[in-house]
Amino acid sequence: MIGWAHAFVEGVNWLVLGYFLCMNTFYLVLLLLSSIELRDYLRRLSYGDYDLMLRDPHTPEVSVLMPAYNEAVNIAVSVRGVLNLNYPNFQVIVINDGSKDETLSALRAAFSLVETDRVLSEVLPTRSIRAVYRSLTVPNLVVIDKENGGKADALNAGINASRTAYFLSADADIILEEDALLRVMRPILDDPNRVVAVGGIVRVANGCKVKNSRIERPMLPRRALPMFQIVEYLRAFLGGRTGFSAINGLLIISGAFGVFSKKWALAAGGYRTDTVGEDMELVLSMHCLLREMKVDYRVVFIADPVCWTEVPDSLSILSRQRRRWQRGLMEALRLHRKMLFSPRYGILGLVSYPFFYFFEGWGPLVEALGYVSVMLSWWYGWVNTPFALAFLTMSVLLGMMISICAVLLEEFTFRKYPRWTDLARMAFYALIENFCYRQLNTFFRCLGLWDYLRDTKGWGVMKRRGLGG
Amino acid sequence: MPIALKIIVVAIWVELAICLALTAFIIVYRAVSRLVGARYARRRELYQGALDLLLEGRAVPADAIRLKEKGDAIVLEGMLLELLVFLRGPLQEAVTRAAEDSGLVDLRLEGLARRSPHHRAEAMEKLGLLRSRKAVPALLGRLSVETPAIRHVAIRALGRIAAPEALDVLLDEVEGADEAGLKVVNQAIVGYDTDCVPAILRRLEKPHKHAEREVSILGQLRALDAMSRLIAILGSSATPHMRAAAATALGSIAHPDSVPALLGALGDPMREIRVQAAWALGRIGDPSAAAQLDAALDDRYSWVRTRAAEALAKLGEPGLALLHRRADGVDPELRTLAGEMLDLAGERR
Repeated sequence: MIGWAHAFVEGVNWLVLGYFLCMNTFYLVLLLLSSIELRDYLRRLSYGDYDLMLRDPHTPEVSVLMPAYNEAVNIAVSVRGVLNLNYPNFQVIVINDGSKDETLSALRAAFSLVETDRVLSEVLPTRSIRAVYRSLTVPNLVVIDKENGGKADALNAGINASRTAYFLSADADIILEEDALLRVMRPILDDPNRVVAVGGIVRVANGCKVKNSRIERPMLPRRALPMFQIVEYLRAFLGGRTGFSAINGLLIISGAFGVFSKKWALAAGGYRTDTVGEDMELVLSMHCLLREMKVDYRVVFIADPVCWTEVPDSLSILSRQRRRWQRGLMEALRLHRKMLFSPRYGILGLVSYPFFYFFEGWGPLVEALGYVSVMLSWWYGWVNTPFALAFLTMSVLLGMMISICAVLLEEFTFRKYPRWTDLARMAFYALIENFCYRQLNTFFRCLGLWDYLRDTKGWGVMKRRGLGG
Repeated sequence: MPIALKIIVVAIWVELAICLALTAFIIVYRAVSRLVGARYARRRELYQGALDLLLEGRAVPADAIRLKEKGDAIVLEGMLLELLVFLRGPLQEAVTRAAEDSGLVDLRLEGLARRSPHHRAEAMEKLGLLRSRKAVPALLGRLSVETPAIRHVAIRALGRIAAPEALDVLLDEVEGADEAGLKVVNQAIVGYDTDCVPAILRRLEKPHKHAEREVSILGQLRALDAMSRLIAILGSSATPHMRAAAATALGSIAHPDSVPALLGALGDPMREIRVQAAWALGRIGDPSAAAQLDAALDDRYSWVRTRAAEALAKLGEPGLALLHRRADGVDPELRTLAGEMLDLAGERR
């Protein structure tokens, strides 16, 4: 019995070692790609002209869709922030998704809304619309009041209401830079026939000085948990997504801030309401469709800091968030599993999808398994010192290198935190991130995987309950 | 095993060393950039006096503004560009002259020959921002050799400088441009403001392909001088594209003298022209157009109806009265349309 267990644990150990080696090598390659891409991007900025874009009457119109659910406290401030964006022509569509609090009356009071008898198109099916309002004070604001149906459903209603060729999906609780929309639309203006979606970077707003729904001075938070997330976001956005964008293999555009071509989003069927990973699912659907139609297209990520959001600063909220993300990721991937290793989808099928499936998707499970089995083997004395050291090298030390490289990229490019103490703290957290935060995250994500597995079994039940409720 | 162990131990040390080296590098990098920043701030002071003189409108000796060393170029250029953001007229010309005297423009002209396209594009952009006429021949020369993306930067720069000798080249660009390029060229020509109107009118004398692009530039410039020509085109041009462009341009100019011609265009056989004419009449907002716009609400084509309703909402009392009548009328579609327009105009029903 013991012998059998020994062999098993040994096998797991080697598997996990190989897994860490592959994953971290891949991340390092991505970092390299990112740094090349970022260098080019910054150079292009030195001769890109935003001023002319602002005055150009042909700059395409954009609808900013803001789904809001129980946001009474912040909604007026957020909407004002969006209305202040520097962009020649855009409209803002706020979708009140059947909030139980005073969201609608807050909006009504702030923008003197009046009901219109405008009928929305029903290209995408949504829960029923209660009313459509427009503002007497702000000409480019529309508010839709609808039955609760979730974020995806609200976004679909917003797409129905939009009359523009592009839409931006934005969370109701984000803080935008003034030039956010200009910057994120730039790739589309430069290459309108090919670019179908653009994602922007999301930065951590905790600790920053905020005034009039604007970041006055970026500062680092006091507490450790948000600090870890700052390093993590830098790693994921500057290091990861920029790299994927460079090889045109970007699979995620975060729901907090992303522009889509309405034509292709509609062709892909809009947002799916039966998954919590609706933002990733839409991007995957669009990729599938465009690849299958053999269209020459691009999905772009821009690394300019454009959008700031408050991240969880308590373990319980963080855990909930990560569990949801992990479940959303797995659901979105599952819906498009035909892409796995399929050469038909090019780099997406051969690199991006497998990366997300194995490393981001099932990775946490392998990682957790590895920690347990290495500890078990250590306890029983099955593992020799070289192996334990090798494990340490592959997992923690390589991870450390990647984190510190991400901080380096930030220093090379945008340098949002000018103080010396900020730099020191970021470097410190980058170095220790792999000793505690990463394991914690792995644990949360395993819980997310558990949620996913439980749900897929009871998929039919879930669905029926959703429709009935 | 011992060999494996050795390799791993070495690997650990190497990794740790790399991590530490990277951390140290970040710190050194920031320290160096701080020092460079402080140096730039000191070097700025060397030129501040000359620039103050210049802003007071006094003559600045060429020596005072000349670059003291090559490394100052970035400092001085930054200072001049800050000024040029909000300076117009003689002061702007004085700053541009200072850029030429200081040797900055020559340095940037050298940059046009660099190997990296990024560097060339940056040089073009800066030459345009400095608005130096001296750069025009070089920029025109680059037009024939660069890739489209970099050409666009050159065209933008030429538009900023707005030198008469480049206007004909830019107008030729309008003819051949694709969709993305057209925007850039358009913007560049609009940079000339009304100075380019005579040249465009001259070109319009004889018909050519894509002439409607030039007509739309006249609209963007709101060129009053071109109005009689535009009215003539709207009334007599054989090509629908030209007539539609003329109607749009007249709408942008929005002068009441063009109302009779636009009312005539409401009866044009091509629907695009009726659409644009209705839109233009709305922009002008002359109440005398009310009756015919009301008639256009019965047009066969829905876009014409929508535009006509929008226009009526902008005509003031007579237009709104007609919309009110439609909103209480029989046709359900027109009722909704008129209702929506009244709503947008802030008319409570």
